[in-house]
Amino acid sequence: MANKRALSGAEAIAYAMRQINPDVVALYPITPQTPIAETFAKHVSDGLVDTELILTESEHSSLSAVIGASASGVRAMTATASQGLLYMYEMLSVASGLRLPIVMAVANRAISSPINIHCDHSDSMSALDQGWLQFYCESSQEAYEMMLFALRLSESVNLPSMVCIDGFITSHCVEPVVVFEDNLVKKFIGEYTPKHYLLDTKNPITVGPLVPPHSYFEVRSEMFNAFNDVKSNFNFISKEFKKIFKKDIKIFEDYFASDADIVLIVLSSSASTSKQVIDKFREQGKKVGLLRPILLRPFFYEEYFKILKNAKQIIVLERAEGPGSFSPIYKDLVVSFYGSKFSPQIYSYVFGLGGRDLYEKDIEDLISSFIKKKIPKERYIGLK
Amino acid sequence: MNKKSNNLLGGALQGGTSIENKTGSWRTERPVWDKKKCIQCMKCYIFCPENCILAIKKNKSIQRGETDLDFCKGCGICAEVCPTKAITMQKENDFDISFLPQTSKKAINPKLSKSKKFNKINKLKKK
Repeated sequence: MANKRALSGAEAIAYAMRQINPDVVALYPITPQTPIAETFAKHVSDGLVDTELILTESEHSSLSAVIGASASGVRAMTATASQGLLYMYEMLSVASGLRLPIVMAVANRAISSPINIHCDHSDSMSALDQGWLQFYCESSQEAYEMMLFALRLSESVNLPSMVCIDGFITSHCVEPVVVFEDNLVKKFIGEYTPKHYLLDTKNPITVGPLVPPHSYFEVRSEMFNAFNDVKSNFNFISKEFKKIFKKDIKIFEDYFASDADIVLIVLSSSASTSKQVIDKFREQGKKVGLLRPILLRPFFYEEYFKILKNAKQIIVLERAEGPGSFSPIYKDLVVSFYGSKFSPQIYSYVFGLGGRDLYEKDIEDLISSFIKKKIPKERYIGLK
Repeated sequence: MNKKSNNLLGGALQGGTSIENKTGSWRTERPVWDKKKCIQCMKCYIFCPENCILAIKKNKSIQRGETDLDFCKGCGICAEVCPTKAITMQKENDFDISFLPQTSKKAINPKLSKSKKFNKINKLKKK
C-alpha cells in the first residue's frame, strides 16, 4: 500500500504539496528553502499539479499573493526561511488576522547579522506570537506528514500554519520516506469550502476593512480564542489521520519522559542525536528522558505539566536565544509549572546557533554533570 | 459592526456597509444651492465624488434635485465646478441641525433591516 521513497526534507514537503494540489503557490527562493521551491516548480512544469505558480520578486510579495489567493477562497501555500520570513513579517499578522488557513513550510536558518545560511531556530521563533500554528519536524517523514496534517488543522480553525524543518540538516538530507497514496491523501484533505470568500459574487464581502476601536479588540480576540479550539480539533483530525494512514500524530514526542528524573527538551533534528544519548543513559539505569515538542503554538500547558510534573530537573535545549531574556520554550515551561505544588528545576541552554553542530558528547557531558549535581553555569553549549 | 452582528471571520464585512456610515457628520462646510441661479447643466451631479447630488426626472427631462446631506462631506467640488456660482459653501455652524432638506428628513428608518435600508436609499436616489 504505502511505498518508500528516498527524499530530502525539502522534496518530502514538495511531494506533500503535489498531493495537496493547492490552487495557488507563490514562491521566492532563499537558501535552504530553495529545493522546496525548485522541486515544486518542477512538479508544475511536469503538469503533475494544476497549481497557479506565482514567482514573485520578494517574500513580502509571495505571502501577500498567497493571502490574496486564500481570501479569494482557494487553497494557497508558500515556503521560506530566515530573512525571507522576516521580510514576510508584516504580512504574518495579516494572514492570521484575516483568518486564512495558509500553510507555509519554513526551512529554519540563522538570521543576520552576521549573515549565515545554516540552521538555527531564530527565524521562526521570532514569529511565535503572530497568530500562526507552528510545527517543528524531526525528519523528512514527519515533515511530509505534518504538511498534510497542518493543512487540515489550519482549515478547521481558520488559522495559518508554519511547518518548520531544520535548514540543511533536514531540508537537504536524503532519508527514506514512506509516502501515502494520492487517493488516500485526497480523501484525508477533502475539498476546501470556506464559509465566506472574496470571489463569491452572490454574497459580496469586504475583506480587511478599517476596524475602529469599537470593534478591533473583538475581531482580534476572536482570533486569540480560535487557538482554544485547536486542542479538540487536533484530537479529531489526528484520529482521522490514524484511521486513513495508520499513523499517530502527537503534540509532542515522549521518549522515556514520563518516568524520568532528568528530562531533556529539544526541538527538531537535534532530538535524534539526543535520543542516542538517552539510550546510553537508560542502559546504565539512569532515569533520563526526552520530550520533543512538535506543535509549539498553541502551547499545551496542561499536557506538558501532566507529563513533566514528576521530573526533578528539566533541561531545555534551544536553538534560539531571547536576548536580554530567556529562550521561548523555557519561558512557556516555567509558566506551566507556576503556582503548582510540583516545581521541577528548569534550566535553559542555548546551542547550535548559525549551524554549529551539537554532538553526542555535548549532550552526554551536560546530562552527566546534572547527574553529578554540578549544574553548568555556562548557558551556551559549544561556545568557543 | 459590533460583536453580535459580525458573524464573518477576520473582521470581514458584508457588502453595502457604507450606507450605514453617514459621512455627513464629517462636514465643516455645507453646499447651499440657489435654485434661481441654477441653469440645470448637471455638472455638479457628474462631479460629486459621493453621488450626493440627486437627479430627478421631471417632464421627461432630468433635473438637479436636493443634496443628500447625510453623506455630503463638504468637499466643495460642486461649488468649484458650478458655472453660475449657484452653489456656495457656507460654514456648517451657521445652520440649525434640526433643519435638514427633504431628502434627509425621510431618509432612513433605523428600525429597518440592512437590505430594506439599502433598497430605500436606492429608491430615493432613483427619484
